[in-house]
This record gives sequence, structure tokens and C-alpha cells, in this order.
Amino acid sequence: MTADAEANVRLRSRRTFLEENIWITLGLLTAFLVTFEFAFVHAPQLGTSILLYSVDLAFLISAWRRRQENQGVETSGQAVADGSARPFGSAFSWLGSIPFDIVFLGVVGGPWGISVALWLRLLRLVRLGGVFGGLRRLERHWFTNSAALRIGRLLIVVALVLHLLTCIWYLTAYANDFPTDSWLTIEGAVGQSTGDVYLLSLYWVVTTTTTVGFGDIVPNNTQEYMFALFVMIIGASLFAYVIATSASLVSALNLSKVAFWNRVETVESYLRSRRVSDDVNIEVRSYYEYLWDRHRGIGEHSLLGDLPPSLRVDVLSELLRDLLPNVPLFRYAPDALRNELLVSLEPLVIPPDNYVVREGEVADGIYFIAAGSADVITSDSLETKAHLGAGDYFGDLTLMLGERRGGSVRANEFVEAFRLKASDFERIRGSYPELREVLTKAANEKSESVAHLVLEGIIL
Amino acid sequence: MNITSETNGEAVVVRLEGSLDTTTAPTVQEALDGFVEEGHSLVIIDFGPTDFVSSAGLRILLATAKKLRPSGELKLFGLNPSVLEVFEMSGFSTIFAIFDDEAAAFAG
Repeated sequence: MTADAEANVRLRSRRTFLEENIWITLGLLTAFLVTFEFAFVHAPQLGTSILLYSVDLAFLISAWRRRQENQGVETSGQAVADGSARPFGSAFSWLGSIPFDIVFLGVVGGPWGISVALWLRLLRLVRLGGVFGGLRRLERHWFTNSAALRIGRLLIVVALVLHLLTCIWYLTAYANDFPTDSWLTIEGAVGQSTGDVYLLSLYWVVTTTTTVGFGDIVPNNTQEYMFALFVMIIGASLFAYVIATSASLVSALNLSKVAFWNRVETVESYLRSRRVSDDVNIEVRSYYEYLWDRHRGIGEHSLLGDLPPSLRVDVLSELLRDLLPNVPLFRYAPDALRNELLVSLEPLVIPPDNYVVREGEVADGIYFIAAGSADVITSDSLETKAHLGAGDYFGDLTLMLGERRGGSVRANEFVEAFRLKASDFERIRGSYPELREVLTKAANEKSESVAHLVLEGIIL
Repeated sequence: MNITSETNGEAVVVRLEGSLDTTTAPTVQEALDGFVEEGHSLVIIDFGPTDFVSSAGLRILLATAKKLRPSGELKLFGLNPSVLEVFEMSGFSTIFAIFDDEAAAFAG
């Protein structure tokens, strides 16, 4: 991927991310404001009205722009880019964005017009479809399995339901013009400020849905009894939804970590059942610990198996950015060869005191050490023949000469290495003549130490 | 392995015919050691007739180069492509002076 294309993708995804969030916020704002204004219509708030109509304007402009874009796309015949933010589904696009109430009032007018316009306002609630669609897209494109997003959705649902019930509970009293047996009259709250009345209504809804039920505010007439029954049932469902979501959130926390350590547990229990010694068990355990700390339990190659080669090269270059500069081959290789090597190299993690290669083995490839240190030893001597560290490589001589290894390489600590398998080496050598030059340059840096080993009769 | 040599003052040109491997290496080593002991400061090896060089061969070449140092020098020429590749990719082309032909080896 070129730098320009990368920058484009980044910009596009950031912009759509921001847009999605804005539309979700605006959609929610609409839902809260519209229902609030519907219930408390007798006490109009200038602020909320201005806010509501500003949001309307934003939706209207967006729907208009979308229409223009779609027309452009149709005429040019290009595919619609995926993932672009849409405030709501296209079917409800105009329904949710046109302020029908204002249009209706303008056309019809009069008391009858006002009453219909009031109901037409509720059409804006179709924007809620856009809110949940937006949340789904956020989850799909940005936050797979994110706990924060799911908590966010839970809070939105709970808040919306409580708000709607609050508005309706207030309406039971207001719609009948505050009869003497309504809860609001009995509480003596008629005439209090909108905020106080809203709070009181919300208080009853919360105590009822959470099954606390203090009993200080109670239903008093048929309508209120019926609505109270409804709230109790909704409350139980809401309660179940909250519990279920919380439970699934807890079980989904650190899903990958749990899966990794479960695998470790399986391996350990197998080793125990086969009576493998504690020493080996401890080594296995420390290997897995290292794998988790350094690689989050994932071998680069198993992870990248699914990706197409071009994307694999991009991801590998980023993943291995700390290690690659240590490998001389990559310092000298031109881009095409470098990419070919990247997808061919096999990453290895060798635990301390384990052998990277053993004396007498047939050459199977070239090993590049990217991190950690190892010693060259032979079976006939206790002495360390050479010390290998990050940037060193071996295995080329045995491969080219077709001989067996004259010594072993043992890791002193955790060693991160890459193996270029013999078959890959032959293949790349055949298709990239420049490999020879690159290897020569790299070899010149280590000629003295290799010469020292060869003089001792050790080839690796 | 057939070893022939040609003395030219301080220099000696050694021709190695056949494979330089584990079995032939001791004979070659003996011959090269002899030239060093005779006081030749420049040993030039003609690899033209050599088919193959194993690690044992590399070892005696390195040993001879070491013995000749610091006053003397080991030069090689006429390496076939596969042998040259081994020398280059092992980094030994920096340890030995490698030339295309005999004249270049003398001049270089």
C-alpha cells in the first residue's frame, strides 16, 4: 500500500468514525427532546426548541447531501463506498429529516393543525433507527467485541426507556388536565417547575422499574393502574436485559487472554498426565509466558495465514519493525526482495538452554537472530566456540556446501529468530539474483567470526 | 587430487585438480604448509581445474592465509562460479584476495 493510499484510508476512517458519533449523538438528542416536548407541550422551552430545530436542519442538510452524492454515483456508475456514515436508513431518510409538523402547521394551521402537528413531531423518532445502525457500524468497523461500546448501548437503551416511561407517566395526568385523583395532584406537584415535575415522574418510574417501589407515589385511577402494570412488566424486562448484558460482558472480557491460557492449561494437563518431569513442565510454562508477554500468544504466521500476501507484507513490516533492522539481510535487500523474504521467513522463539540447531544436523535453512543471544558449542568440548547475538546469522555455509552442521547453537536467553528454509532459499536465489549480492554484503560483516569457526573445523 | 606447482621467485603458483574435500584436504594442506615453510611469501592457488571445495578445503585455505600473515599473502584465481559463490556468500572473499586469472593475481 502506498503512503498516499494509507493516509487516505486513515483519513476516511477517522472522518466516518467522527461522523458516526455525531449522528448517534444527534439522533439520541432528537429522541429525548421530541418526547420531552411532546409531554411537556404546555410549558414550551425556547432552548429545547432551538436545539431541536438545529438538529432538524443538520439532518435535512445531510439527507440532501446524501441524495446529491447518490445521484452523482448513479451517473458516474461508481460503487458506493462502504462504511460512510448514514444518519438513518435510506427508506426513512426523508421521513426523519423533514420537519413535517412545521410544514403541516404552515399549510393547515388552527387548533386542529396544532394537535396533528404535535403528533407529526414524533416522526423524528425514526432517527433512533439510525442511532442503533450507527452503533452496529461502530462495532463492526472499529470496536469488535468492545466492552465500552456494549456498555454504552446498554446505557442508551436504559436511559431511553426510562425517559419515555417518565414522559408517559407525566402524560397520564396531563392528558386529562390534572384530575383530582391523578398522582400529580395528590403529590401537590401541579404548577411546579417542569424540571421538578420531570424529576418526580422519573423518580416513580425508576422506583417501579427497579422493583424498589417505595409506595410514596402510587397509581390512583384506571389509566394510571394500567400504565403502572405496563411499567412493572417493562421494568422486569429491562432488569433482565441489564443483567444479561452485564453477564455476557464479564464473560467476554479478555476473550483472547482466556483462550490462550486455556490452551496452556490443556498442554500442561496433558504433560502432567503423561508424567513429564517438572523441569520440562516449567520450561513449557515459561515458554508460554514469554509468548504471551512478547507476542500476546500469537505466532505471527498463524495470525497472518488469512491475509492476502500484499497485506501480509504490510502487517509483518509493522510487527517486525523492531527486529528487522537487526537482520543484515533486510538492511541491504531492495524492496521486492525484502517483501519476498518477509513472507518466506519463519519466525521462531527459542527458550533459554534450548538448541536452535544441533551438531550433525543436515542443513535445513539459514537462521537470523533478531533478539537474544546464543552460544556455538560442540560435543567434544565444553568451551563456547563463539557467541551469537542480534544481527548474526548462520546456516548458509552448510546449506551451500551441502554438509552437516559442525556445531550446535544453544540459546542463552529467549531468542527471537527467523528461519529461511532451504527450499525458500533456493527458490528466492533462483528468482532474485540480487540475493547473492545482499548475502555477500551481509557476510562481509561477519567474515572474521566465521573464519574463526571454520578454522576450528566448525561450520554451521 | 593432483597438485602441481610452479615457483616464481618469492611466489609459488599451486594448481589443484579435482575436488578439495575432507579426503584430499590433508594432502593439500601438507603441500601448502611445505611452500610456507620454504619461505614463499606469496602463495597463488589456481582453482581453474578444481571442481568442488568443501568446508575442509575452506579450513586449510584459512589456515594457510593465517600462517602467511602478516608478511605473506594468499591469492586465488580461476574459481568456477559455484565455488566463487561459496566464497562470496560466506564472506571469505574479504579474507582471500580473489582474481580472475593468473596475470591479475600477480599484478594485484
